[in-house]
Amino acid sequence: MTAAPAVMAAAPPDQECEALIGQWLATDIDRWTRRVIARHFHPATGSPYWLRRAAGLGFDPRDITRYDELTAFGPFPLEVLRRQDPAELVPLAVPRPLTGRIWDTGGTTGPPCRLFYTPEMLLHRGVWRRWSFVSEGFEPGRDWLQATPTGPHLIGNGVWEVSGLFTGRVYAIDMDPRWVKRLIRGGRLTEAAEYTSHLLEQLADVLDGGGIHYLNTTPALFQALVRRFPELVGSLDGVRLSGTRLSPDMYREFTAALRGGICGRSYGNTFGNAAGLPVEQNGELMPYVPNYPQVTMAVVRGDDWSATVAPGGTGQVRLTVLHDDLFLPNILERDQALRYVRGGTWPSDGVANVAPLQLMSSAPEGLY
Amino acid sequence: MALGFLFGGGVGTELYGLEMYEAHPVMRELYARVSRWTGLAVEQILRDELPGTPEERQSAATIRESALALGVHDVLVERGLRPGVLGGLSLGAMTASCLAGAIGRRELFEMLAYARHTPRLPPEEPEQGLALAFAPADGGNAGFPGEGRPGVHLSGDFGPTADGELRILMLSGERTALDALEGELPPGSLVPLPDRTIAVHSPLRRHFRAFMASRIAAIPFSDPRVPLVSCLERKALTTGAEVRDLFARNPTDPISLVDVCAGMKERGVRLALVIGGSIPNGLLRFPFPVVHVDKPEHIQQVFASVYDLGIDLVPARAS
Repeated sequence: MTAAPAVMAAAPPDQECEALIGQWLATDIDRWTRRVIARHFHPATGSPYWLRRAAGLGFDPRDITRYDELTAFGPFPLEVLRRQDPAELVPLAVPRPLTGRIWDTGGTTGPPCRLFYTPEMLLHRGVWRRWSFVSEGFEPGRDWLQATPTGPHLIGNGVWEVSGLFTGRVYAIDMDPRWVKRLIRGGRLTEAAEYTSHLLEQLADVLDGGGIHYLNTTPALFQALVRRFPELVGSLDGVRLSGTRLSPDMYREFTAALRGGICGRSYGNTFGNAAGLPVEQNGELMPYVPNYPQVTMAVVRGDDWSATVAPGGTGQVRLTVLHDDLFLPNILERDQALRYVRGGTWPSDGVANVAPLQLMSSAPEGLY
Repeated sequence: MALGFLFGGGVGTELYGLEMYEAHPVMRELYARVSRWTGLAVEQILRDELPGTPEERQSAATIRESALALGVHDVLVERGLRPGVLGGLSLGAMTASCLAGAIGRRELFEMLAYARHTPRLPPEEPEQGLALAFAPADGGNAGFPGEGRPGVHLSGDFGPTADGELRILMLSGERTALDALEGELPPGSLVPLPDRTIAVHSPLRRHFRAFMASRIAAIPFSDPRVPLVSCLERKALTTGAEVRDLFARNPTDPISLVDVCAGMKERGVRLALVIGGSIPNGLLRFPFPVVHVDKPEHIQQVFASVYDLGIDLVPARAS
């Protein structure tokens, strides 16, 4: 665990990736919770942040035996991830000094949160992403164009995920989401459109050369590409989308523009991801399932973050990260979603129709 | 890829939009004008307890709702966010008509203020009420709970719930008939709306429609300058006469959010801004993404959604 490469030289073979997925899906979440709690709160080898916090919790976290009891920790204060050394959240069982990459969240509402990803965490994310590629019908050994944020943003590690785990060859174009968000916050949509145009020209330059099979980008950028260069989109074998909002209309427009090409999706951020499942109801229902068991999601009530809504109900997305090397319980996301239950075929809840969070009202009495 | 503005119907039971009023001078200026037009103090329009009789209270509440809706619209327009298509339910349809240029602002508010003089019904008239009914979404044209029963009327169709499982309908009628119906249906499938004593959008509002008829007939209506959809049937309102007809029929005819949304969708809406508290967030399924706007911070969400969804903004008209 001493090396933390963003690009892993020795990726596991396909069979090993598939075995890992099977193993994770068969994991009992309560048992997994106990494992992660024991690691982070081990008096000698736990994570410095959690050992410090344990003193003020008012309960002994080592007494927690079930996943549902994680609500006792309360919502995770994201300010910790903005101000503290990310190593403080990594158990001392991971040899010091830590070497490797710090990854940032987008920084939509202020300074970004920063996380240290150990190689195991990067592998976990990548193996799930590979699972998505396979289940969505992407073929290994193809040429990709990655047009996403890179630099401090974990989505940029998709270059390795494709090349290292899916034998792909990857071209890349960088985008700066914080600049776009700054323009949007200021209502400077004309300048934001100009930046988009700048990105589209770079995209077109790569795609024009031919030979690119798949594109990995955001829905917003792909939408702009569909409108400006429909012929380039029509020549793709597929696109993989994550990072900004995707509406049913966009999804249908994209699949039409792709002329039978694949339209894969994922939802998430630097904390954790969820894989897109096939759309239902002609695209009106777009479900996702989290990268279990290290990532779980719940859809909770707007007036009580500890209570999940009924299946099909709308609420705030609550994310819990249960990596061996990172424990983040009860992150209240700035997103709302429908609670999606896949029945007996998936060990955890999923989310569907994700949108920016607004104040929830579940009371129909307000309708008129 | 148009931006739609969608205005809720009815009158809210909770105060909202106060932060918008405090934050934006353009809203405060509007409220001052509305105060002069209606004779209500700004504080009454904004947040004070609503007055006396049901009709007085209803009138003041509609003024409060429309002032807020127009104010939020003005704030958005100030930031370059103009409606490409307008729609609304009931009172929201009237607000939308006003923003489409079919009726002047002063005329709208004076009409709403005039409604406070609606004669009271004789005391022997049955007590009225409202209820929401929850029916299976795949029920097709199976009718509505209580259909054919005396004193129960279908007054609104809010369409499917967010998960697509149920359809929400509004029933208006005599309180005793609605209560009796609730007792016969499975628990939770009919929810009476507390403190709603006016059987809106039903034949029980004939006297109000008759009272307002001459007033509405005297108002000059113009052809809408922005695409405007009806809430009484699935169509666009393209002439002043059609808008006048909507105003005249609105008290007694059932409303349909399904028709409003379908009409907006047909006219290219791919993002709608929901203005007004009576379309709760997260409860209903819309055929396009929606952003509810009643707080200053929502404006940034609007900008982000406009960018993310690739919405075409309407340029400012040359002055």
